[in-house]
Amino acid sequence: MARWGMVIDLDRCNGCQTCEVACRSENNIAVGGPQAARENRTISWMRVHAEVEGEWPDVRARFVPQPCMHCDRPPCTLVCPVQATSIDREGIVNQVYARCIGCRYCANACLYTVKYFNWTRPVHPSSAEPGLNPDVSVRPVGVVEKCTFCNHRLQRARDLARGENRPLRESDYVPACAESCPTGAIAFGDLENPTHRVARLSRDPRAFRLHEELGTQPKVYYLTERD
Amino acid sequence: MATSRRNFIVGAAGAGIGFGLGAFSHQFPLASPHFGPDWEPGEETFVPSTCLLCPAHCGIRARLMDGRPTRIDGNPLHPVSQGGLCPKGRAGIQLLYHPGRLKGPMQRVGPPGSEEFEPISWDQALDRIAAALRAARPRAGGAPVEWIVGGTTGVMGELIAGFSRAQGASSLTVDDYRDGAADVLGLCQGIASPPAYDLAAADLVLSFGAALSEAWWAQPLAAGARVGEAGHSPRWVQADTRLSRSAVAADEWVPVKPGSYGTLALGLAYVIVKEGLYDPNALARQVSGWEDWTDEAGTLQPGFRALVLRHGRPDEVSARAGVPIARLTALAKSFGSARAAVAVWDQAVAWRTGGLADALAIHALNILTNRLNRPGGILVQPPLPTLPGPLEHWPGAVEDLAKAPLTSNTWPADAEAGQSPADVLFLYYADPVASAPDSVVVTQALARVPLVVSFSPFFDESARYASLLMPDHTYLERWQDGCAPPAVPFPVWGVTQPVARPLLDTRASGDVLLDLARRLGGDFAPLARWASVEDLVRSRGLALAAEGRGSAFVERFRQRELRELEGRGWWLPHGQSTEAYWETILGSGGWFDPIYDYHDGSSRSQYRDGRVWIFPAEARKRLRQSGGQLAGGFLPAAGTSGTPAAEEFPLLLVPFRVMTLASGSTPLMPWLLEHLGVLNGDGWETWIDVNPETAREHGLRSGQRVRVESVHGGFEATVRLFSGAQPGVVNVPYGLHARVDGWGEARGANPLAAIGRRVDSVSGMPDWYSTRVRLVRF
Amino acid sequence: MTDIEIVSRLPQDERVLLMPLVRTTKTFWRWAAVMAAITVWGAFTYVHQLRRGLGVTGLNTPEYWGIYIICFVFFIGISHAGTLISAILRVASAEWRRSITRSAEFITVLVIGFGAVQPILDLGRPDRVLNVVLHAQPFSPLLWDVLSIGLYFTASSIYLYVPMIPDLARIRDLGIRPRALYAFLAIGYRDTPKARHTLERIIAVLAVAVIPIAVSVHTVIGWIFALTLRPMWHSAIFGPYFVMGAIFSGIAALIIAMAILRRVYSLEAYFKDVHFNNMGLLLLVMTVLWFYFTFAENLTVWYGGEKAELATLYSKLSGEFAFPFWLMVACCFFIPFGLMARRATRGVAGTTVASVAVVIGMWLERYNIVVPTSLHTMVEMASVHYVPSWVELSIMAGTLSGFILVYMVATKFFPIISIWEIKEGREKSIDEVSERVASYLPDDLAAVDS
Ligand SMILES: Nc1nc2c(c(=O)[nH]1)N[C@H]1C(S)=C(S)[C@@H](COP(=O)(O)OP(=O)(O)OC[C@H]3O[C@@H](n4cnc5c(=O)[nH]c(N)nc54)[C@H](O)[C@@H]3O)O[C@H]1N2
Ligand SMILES: Nc1nc2c(c(=O)[nH]1)N[C@H]1C(S)=C(S)[C@@H](COP(=O)(O)OP(=O)(O)OC[C@H]3O[C@@H](n4cnc5c(=O)[nH]c(N)nc54)[C@H](O)[C@@H]3O)O[C@H]1N2
Ligand code: SF4
Ligand code: SF4
Ligand code: SF4
Ligand code: SF4
Ligand code: SF4
Ligand SMILES: [Mo]
Repeated sequence: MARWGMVIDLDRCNGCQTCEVACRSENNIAVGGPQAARENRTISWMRVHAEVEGEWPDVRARFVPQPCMHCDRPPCTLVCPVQATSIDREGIVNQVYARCIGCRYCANACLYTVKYFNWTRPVHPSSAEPGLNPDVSVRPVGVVEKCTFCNHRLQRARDLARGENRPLRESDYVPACAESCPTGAIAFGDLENPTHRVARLSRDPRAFRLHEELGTQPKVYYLTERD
Repeated sequence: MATSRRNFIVGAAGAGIGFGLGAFSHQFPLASPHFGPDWEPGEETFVPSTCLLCPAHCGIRARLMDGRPTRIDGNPLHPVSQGGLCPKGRAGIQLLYHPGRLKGPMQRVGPPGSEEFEPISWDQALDRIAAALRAARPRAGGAPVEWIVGGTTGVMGELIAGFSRAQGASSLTVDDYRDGAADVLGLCQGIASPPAYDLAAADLVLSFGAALSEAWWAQPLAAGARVGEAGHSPRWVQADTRLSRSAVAADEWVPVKPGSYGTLALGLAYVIVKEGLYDPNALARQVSGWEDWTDEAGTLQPGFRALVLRHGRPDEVSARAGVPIARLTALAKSFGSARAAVAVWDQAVAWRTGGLADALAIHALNILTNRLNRPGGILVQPPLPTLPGPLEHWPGAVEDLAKAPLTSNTWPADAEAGQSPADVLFLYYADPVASAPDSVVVTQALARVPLVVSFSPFFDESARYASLLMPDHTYLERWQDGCAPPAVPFPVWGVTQPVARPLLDTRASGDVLLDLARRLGGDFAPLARWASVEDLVRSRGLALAAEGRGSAFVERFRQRELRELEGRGWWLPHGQSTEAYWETILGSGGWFDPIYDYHDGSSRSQYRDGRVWIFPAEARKRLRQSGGQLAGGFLPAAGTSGTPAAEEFPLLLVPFRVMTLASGSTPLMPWLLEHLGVLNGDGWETWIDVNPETAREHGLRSGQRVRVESVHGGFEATVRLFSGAQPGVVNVPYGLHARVDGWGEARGANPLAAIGRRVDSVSGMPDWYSTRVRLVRF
Repeated sequence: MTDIEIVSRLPQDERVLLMPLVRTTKTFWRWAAVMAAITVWGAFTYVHQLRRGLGVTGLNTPEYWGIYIICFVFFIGISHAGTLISAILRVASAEWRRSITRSAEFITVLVIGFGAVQPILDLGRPDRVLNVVLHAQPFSPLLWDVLSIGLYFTASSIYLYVPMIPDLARIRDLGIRPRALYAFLAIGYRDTPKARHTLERIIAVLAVAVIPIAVSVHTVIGWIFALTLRPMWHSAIFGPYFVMGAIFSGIAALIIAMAILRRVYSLEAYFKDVHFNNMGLLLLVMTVLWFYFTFAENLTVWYGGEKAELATLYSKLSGEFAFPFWLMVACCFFIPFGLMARRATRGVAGTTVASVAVVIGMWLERYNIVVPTSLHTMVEMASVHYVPSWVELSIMAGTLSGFILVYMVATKFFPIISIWEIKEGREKSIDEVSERVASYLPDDLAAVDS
């Protein structure tokens, strides 16, 4: 049984934001527009946070790309009254848009604030509809959405592997953000499988996780030399 | 009473029902969208092409579902971008599907600047242009037919050049993204091309404000080099006036006062000389201008050594550049003792009065430490084989292309009121109304031109002043070719091919020109040789295939082995026929030739004596004439305090460009606008970064709207407190100036309105980094 | 013979207490009209929200919850006025309860619905609300909530209805209209001593039963917050804290209701100074309790000194939420304590003023619980301050007026003071009480000997 996870090397990340855009493109994330931006309602499954500390001229900054951490003990799934968000056998935390009642309890329970609510009806200009990714369902108004580890890519990869009846290879299932990162800062794979890069990297001395102390057991690891 | 009580019940019930009806008679937003998981997977295909959204020309791979482009990936075979893309490259798909695209050719019926246009057939439009061109007569005050060309790549540049040449035009101004480096190489090494940087092989990269991880033209080259080949990752030092994204991405950031880059370079040179961290013999053998000499006039000229020791004293430098002496010396030592260090700069240095002196001082570091034409140093991109193209027929036409930076900012050359700048004006990849500092001058000039033709696929500001809209295909629908920028040390020829059938009734501008040529005949006949741009691109591909060198794009490991082989003089033909080879090139995305000959002296110096000049006499002469405040008449001096008086305009304006801004094309890719500023999470509006200290002094709150004013003009922006911004400096991202309706309306501003049209007389470069401003609250 | 004539011939208690059922004044209609108007307005703004989505609220990321959830906690809190208090008083057989319990129980039954709809108003997909049943997820506190509130509602309704039966029967016998209604509700009750006895047995059992249910309701609501890991939500004190707060605001609401009823239906004879005095004393106790809980909560946070928690705490003590926080402290402690501590100000006016303050204060408390924590996320991120939109405010106003309206209407159909209990009080309890008091005293030995 695989345990899918991600390792992001902060020493490599240069904050180019390609992962953000790649995710928008892959997952049919609607454009919120200026008003949403002003109201803090922009949806961005992957968001590159900048941590800036210090005063001029001794300022330090680093970029921390934040998808859903796909916690092994996700506080978000526990509170959902209708099982619209749940963790599957391979550790991927999913959203069921067709069932979600939009109470946003999970969003409040998530410690990483990576759940996004569709405050208004997401709009895709009719001219842009042909460009939507048919593998990913378009969300209706009033439901919560978030990073899915590009779960649909896993489905495709499985079908492919089954078709060629061979086991799933590491390179078969790579999320859009990892695939697009120009500095190769994002690694993705099976944390349990010693042949996968993430398995090694997640045990690297540089590795840490966000709010590890809270016992949510995120499956997104970060690497850095810096404290 | 009881009855009245019953009334009450009835009334209440009525209200209830009313509300119920009210609620349910309306269509809810709750209806689920009409596409969703129930879509069946569909057929997935990939088409390689070349991104034309900036001069880096990365390799892209469009992902199609049932023939519909749904995503743009990087082309893993591309030798420079190696499968990586910047956010713009990915967002490019939105440009294809943008609702603001023009559906077909139109002609303006209302007054200039109005939105009153009516459809017109391509034929009518073309006839109208042809007629106008025939009628155009040579005239006083400029050519009869003018072009404003924002950016051209490959065949398009030559087509336009050839076309205006056939028209008999003596000159054509094209915007080359010029950062002055070419002039520096010209002066120091007698080489007429910009430098290439061997970043991948360097072990210390010292960037003087060059936005290597941002807008830099070879950004993907930098991204690749940053990671480093297996294991070895180079050390990057970013000298910058602010904590730019490039500074964050670098290993070390050296904060410097604006405009003191040259001074800093002098200081570094001083330490390197004092510490003897250079090879005196090599210098003596190969470099002129190092020791004192007497010129033809017989006057004694001080050599660079003497000058540095006089003007580069660390205490002074550190005072002027704001870099602590200890740090200065440490940096100098690591630069001098590095195995392969290289000093890099870009327009941020050059686009300032006195910028040339700064650039020369920075390049002096490369010369001093003998970094020219060495692994990890300053190289020169070997030329592509000469390719077939329109210009064959007009020998010397290339020289006629008066390339200049920011053509769309400097047009019209002489804004002389009254008379029209030309009879016919073509706008290609240019939106001068939006991107020029003073749109009024531009709009007035445009209004005076009898026939203005806009090729933009979008209804941008300038299009509103065009008489004819001849919408181009987007780069995802047309044929073209794009080479790697000069900063890349080997030639790359990328093919741009349609990844999808045109969505609308648009035509590739190149094909339009060829069509016109056919209609006009006569001098234009030679152009008619090509049926279409596709034909032209193909002929070039075949020409390359016929060359006994280089290769189609191949996997990374094959690239290395190719280098090996070609290094030893081998070359493996691809496929049986050139046809087959061309197909391979097309299928892989392009052609490249990885081999670099470090022994070819011509890429060190092309002076007759084969020597390299450090602060050459020629440059000294030019700089002296500028009369700028320079040390010893031509050496970098303190950063310009800028005019006018500091008390009236207490702050210095320093513009910068973020990764997510694509000049006039930004509004075409709303995904980029959603999160523009990664360092402070801004979106959809122009902001200014102000140091918290400075903000306090000026009583500014974060999120407040202000007007940034200079003597030239002003613009509005939202204040952001950012401790990475230098006290006394206002940083503003530029590139959010243009407007295209349809997919979100950004609150952008044009910082150039405050910067103005100033041009440095010596270098001919714009002056962007010495504007003094004040902030006005409202 | 009209209803009025019937009623005006009755003896004092019945005459006074039944009069509101048969005579309806102009002012009543005016107020009813105003309330109805506001309610309808609220309803239509909700339609607006249905059509536009929750975008019409002031909510955002991470301010996921706002007015609706605040009002949810608030109204359910108010609902503890009735059943719980009257139950406690009954169980403690406090004689002065007799004129109070009915009006209290009505508050519960009528407000609980308005509280329960709040989370539905807050849903992004109200059309899917049934999923809570269809796809019930047993671990979600939200589900427990649905259950306990449902149970509480049923129990309270029964607990309101059963003690009302004798009065309904009496009204039926008097033949006041709408006869059908009363005939139906009185379910053929005949006021025989035997019937009366069984009735009282049932009431006694119910009284005991509803108390734990009531307690469970607000405990679970507290857990909605406490069971997340968010700063200043994740706290063990929340369960009891919420119950206490609920009773607190409940009592306050009840006092206000009494004051108003007393005025409009001239019930001075029934809601006496002593009643307000006693309620005032209850309020005083709760005030002190509230202070104790609040202090305990904030002290533990401050002492623990955990980063995120401190940030949240300071935003209340001295930061952007200082105003609502200190206003809350004033309303929930200083004002009521100042007034209730002195006998002089424990009259009708004093208690009412104190109660109004408390109700406002308790609303603010919920605001101070919901909003600041949402704003303080564990990962630092840009945040926009939550400002309720006109839609949220309209809907809140609509709910409040809706409740007042139905309460007004209720007083028009049911005696707001239990007639038979008053009667019973007059007849029996005097001797009952003296007996009880006697039973407290040491036995009279002389009497034992002989
Ligand atoms: N993403 C993106 N890339 C682009 C473009 C785009 O629109 N978007 N456009 C292309 C075009 S047209 C151009 S012209 C280029 C422009 O791209 P660049 O040549 O990189 O110009 P800027 O982005 O303005 O970078 C200027 C940098 O220099 C720093 N600086 C400020 N003052 C000074 C100074 O006095 N000296 C020095 N040395 N540095 C200073 C600034 O902080 C800023 O980081 O980008 C090209 N690439
Ligand atoms: N305020 C502000 N002013 C600027 C700049 C800035 O960033 N901000 N940048 C400065 C710099 S560095 C430069 S180089 C100049 C550049 O300024 P311009 O030369 O005017 O180039 P852009 O502003 O990028 O506008 C290019 C236009 O080409 C159109 N276009 C897009 N795709 C296509 C296509 O496929 N075919 C054709 N034919 N047209 C297309 C778009 O409508 C776009 O408006 O502007 C300068 N002025
Ligand atoms: S794409 Fe890679 S480098 Fe760019 S921001 Fe994302 S993680 Fe960082
Ligand atoms: S990060 Fe948040 S949303 Fe993702 S699994 Fe963890 S708790 Fe749930
Ligand atoms: S918002 Fe949707 S997913 Fe989240 S808890 Fe509520 S129902 Fe579940
Ligand atoms: S894994 Fe997929 S869904 Fe998650 S952030 Fe990356 S691209 Fe977006
Ligand atoms: S760097 Fe330039 S060429 Fe490369 S992807 Fe970005 S925009 Fe396109
Ligand atoms: Mo440019």
